[in-house]
Amino acid sequence: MGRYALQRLLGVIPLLFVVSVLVFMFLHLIPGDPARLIAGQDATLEEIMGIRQQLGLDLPLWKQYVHYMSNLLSGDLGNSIQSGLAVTDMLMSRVMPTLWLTFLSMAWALLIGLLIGVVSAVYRNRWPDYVGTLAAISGMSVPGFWLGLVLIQIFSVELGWFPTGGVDTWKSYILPSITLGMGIMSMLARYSRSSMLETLREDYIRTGRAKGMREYVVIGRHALRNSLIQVVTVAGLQFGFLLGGSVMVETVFSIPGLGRLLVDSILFRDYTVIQALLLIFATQFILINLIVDLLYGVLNPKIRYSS
Amino acid sequence: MTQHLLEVQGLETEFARGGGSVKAVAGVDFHIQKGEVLGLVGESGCGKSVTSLSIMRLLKDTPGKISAGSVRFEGTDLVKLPEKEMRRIRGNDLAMIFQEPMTSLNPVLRIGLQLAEPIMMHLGYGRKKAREHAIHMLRLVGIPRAEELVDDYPHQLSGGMRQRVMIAMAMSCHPKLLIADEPTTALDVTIQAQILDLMKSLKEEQDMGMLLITHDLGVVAELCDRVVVMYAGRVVEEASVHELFANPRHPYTRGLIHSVPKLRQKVRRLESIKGNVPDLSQMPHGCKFAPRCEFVMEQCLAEEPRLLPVEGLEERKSRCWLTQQENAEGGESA
Amino acid sequence: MSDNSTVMGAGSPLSGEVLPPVKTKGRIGEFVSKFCRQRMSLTAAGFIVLLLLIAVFGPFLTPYNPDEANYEVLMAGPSADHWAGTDEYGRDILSRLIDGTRLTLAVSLSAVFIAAVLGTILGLLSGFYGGWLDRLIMRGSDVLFSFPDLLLAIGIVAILGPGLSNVVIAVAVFGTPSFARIIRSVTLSAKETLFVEAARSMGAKNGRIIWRHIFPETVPSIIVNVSMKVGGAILAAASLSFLGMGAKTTEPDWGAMLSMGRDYLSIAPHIVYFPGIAIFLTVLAFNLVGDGLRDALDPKMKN
Repeated sequence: MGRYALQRLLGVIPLLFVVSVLVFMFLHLIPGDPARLIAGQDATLEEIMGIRQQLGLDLPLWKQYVHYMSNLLSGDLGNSIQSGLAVTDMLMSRVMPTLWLTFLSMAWALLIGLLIGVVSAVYRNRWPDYVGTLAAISGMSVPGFWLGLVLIQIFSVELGWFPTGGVDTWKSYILPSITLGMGIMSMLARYSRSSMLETLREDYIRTGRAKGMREYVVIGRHALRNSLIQVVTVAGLQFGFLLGGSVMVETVFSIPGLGRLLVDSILFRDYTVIQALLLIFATQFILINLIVDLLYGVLNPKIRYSS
Repeated sequence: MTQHLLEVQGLETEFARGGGSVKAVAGVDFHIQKGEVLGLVGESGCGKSVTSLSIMRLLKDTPGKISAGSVRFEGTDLVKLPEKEMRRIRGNDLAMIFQEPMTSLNPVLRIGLQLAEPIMMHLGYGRKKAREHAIHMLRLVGIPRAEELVDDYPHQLSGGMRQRVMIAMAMSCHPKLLIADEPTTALDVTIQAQILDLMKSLKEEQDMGMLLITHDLGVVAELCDRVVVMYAGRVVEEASVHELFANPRHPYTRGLIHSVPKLRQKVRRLESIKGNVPDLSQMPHGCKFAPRCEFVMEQCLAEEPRLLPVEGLEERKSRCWLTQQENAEGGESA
Repeated sequence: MSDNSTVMGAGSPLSGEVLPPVKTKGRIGEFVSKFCRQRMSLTAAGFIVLLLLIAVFGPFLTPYNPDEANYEVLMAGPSADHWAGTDEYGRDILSRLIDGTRLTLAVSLSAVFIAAVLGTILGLLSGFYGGWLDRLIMRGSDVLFSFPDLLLAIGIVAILGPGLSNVVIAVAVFGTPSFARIIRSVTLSAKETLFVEAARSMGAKNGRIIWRHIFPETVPSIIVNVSMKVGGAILAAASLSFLGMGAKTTEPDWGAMLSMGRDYLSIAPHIVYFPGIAIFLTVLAFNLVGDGLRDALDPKMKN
């Protein structure tokens, strides 16, 4: 396990490096002169030169990168072009809503997805399976932002059960989590179905039955534990899907999170903020994959006990 | 008339295939007495394993289904038994070990838990007592450091060790009948011999009956009291182990015996049976073995012979027109 | 025609039918479920054909001029005159939906088409030549994969600026790696098969081998993956339009219609409902067809 964990940890470093280079290059990929874009249409040459110097754009590229990285490592992500505020501070206040939202979405999606998948597999080719499969394909096909609007219209506007937006109470998170988790729930339902079907065909399942175990023990203890390893891995890999979706859902439900900030920054062309957010999202994605890898090691005794 | 430990009568198991179904087991009869080892022999695909799974009623998650016949275990017909009661017998009075020790143990559960499961279930032991019993069983099957091994996972053991664990698991509730489906096929030759010795000594200690399914006649000679030979889902010959090797009646049995290399004899080439087991959906009309039989007669193609007793011998049967002719002639001349 | 028959041998539906006798699921059950799913896929395919017809003949089918404002029926609910109601300018929503079919399908289909062409070329090169080219292409797709789909698209639009053509590019970019990976693996196995070696030994050039012998092998996988990706592409394009990064609000795009209707959600929810249903049904249809095709064409891709 120790070596496995170390390998995973070391494997992340080159990926983080590539991401940091890509995000750094982002400013340079924008067609045209970033300094001119930032300064605006009717800026004077002096103003543009000033911005260029301020951003260090007059230095050679590698120096710019070193500069960028040393700032980054000391927690300085620059200032917003739009508001002049420190980007780090802007991010701090917006991290928690996004984290809560993604966490809650993943939690229910994993739970319900597994349930549907297991029931579908156990009742394979009978009506619960068909209902489950149709539900899963539908959940995959529904546009997330539309689902959010429909939920708001029904449960907030018509019935008044939940707030239409914001993050004032715990209730505010319910509709957004349902919206955000829907796609991933469907995916997990389908995946856990096929994974369970595969597991149920294994020899050790037959052994379990030959021992006289009850069916729910065979399914719950023997089959599910094995499928869980794969399903959790896939769930983790789909986390990026949630990060992308959070942009959508935060917009629909007016949640002051990172995704909403990304949309606003893009619309206002606040490049330093966009850059910081891309870095955060990509890093988060990589770290989650790392956690999933480590979790896989913990769940799978073959890895846990290999020297 | 004494009651047999296991009595299989007219057992048929069908497999759904395409739109219709095929019979993988087509009317099988045999019995096992208390403490007796019966060998079930035949090439792969002849229905041996399906027969054993049918007896255990483990056809769930396969397209197979028992369509006729009865399986009487101590007088109770298992075919008609509700699943709940069947579960009480499985792993308890009627245990089974499988061919593939590498995949038959759950990779994510500790050996101890997997052993303790049937013990807690059938013997009603608590966690601690079940663990002690599990360790005891592991010692019984000759596993060193049993108290450490219970906390290991299957991947930490070799194939031979895993099969010992499987045997310990099957034996843990003192079964009256053990079904062993090719228990040594997947193992190295030296390990095979060890496992066979173990099974032999355990069987004698525990006085249990055994149904040994194998394609290996060496294993049969080593362990069995009587033998049933299966071909194409049917019993083609039944004999005591001595009779079978000394005087095989069915051409298929003869073929099987001749295809085993003999150590002392210098054989230029191995005689083996030509051709393959016919596909279940394309069975010949008459005797199912006729297309591969070197003694095939017209009658064989027209009509399938029945499994009839061979004259003058107890528990000796053959399904062949040839033996039945000999029988008739013998009867006339006598 | 001769190499076509060889192609069919590898991953054809017929070879998938030969199942081992034991350890498979119930055959009758499988047949019924296959038939059922096939019937669903067929219905879905019929729906897609209908959509394509609407996309082509849209202008002749609209009951009203989709761009004509009518201030007498602002945000009217569904009625006999306006089946799907009217929007905030009194424009007929059904007409706008019909008119928008073309744009919506054009954006997603062209994005997936570009992704398929790029991905197939990269996959063929990567699989056939191997070596540093293979490593370069696969590392590149790893990097793209390490960004979440929609975020990648948003990032690309952030660089290129908003607009439908940039949405096409963004969706195409994040679709390419999956094609490249799938085609690469098919190419690798096709490369080893006998007839390629035979063709090579007869002195055929690499380009000809790829085009005549390997590419046909990859076609089923391409078709399956295209049908599976279209649904996602429609959703991604609609999402970008909804965020104001895709279609302009004046363009009759389903996502843009939804985005506009959002402000009137509490007074006139039908403005939001109908475009959403249109998107949902279309994506559902493509996903069902993709599922059916995968089962029928490419049994190996089942997971």
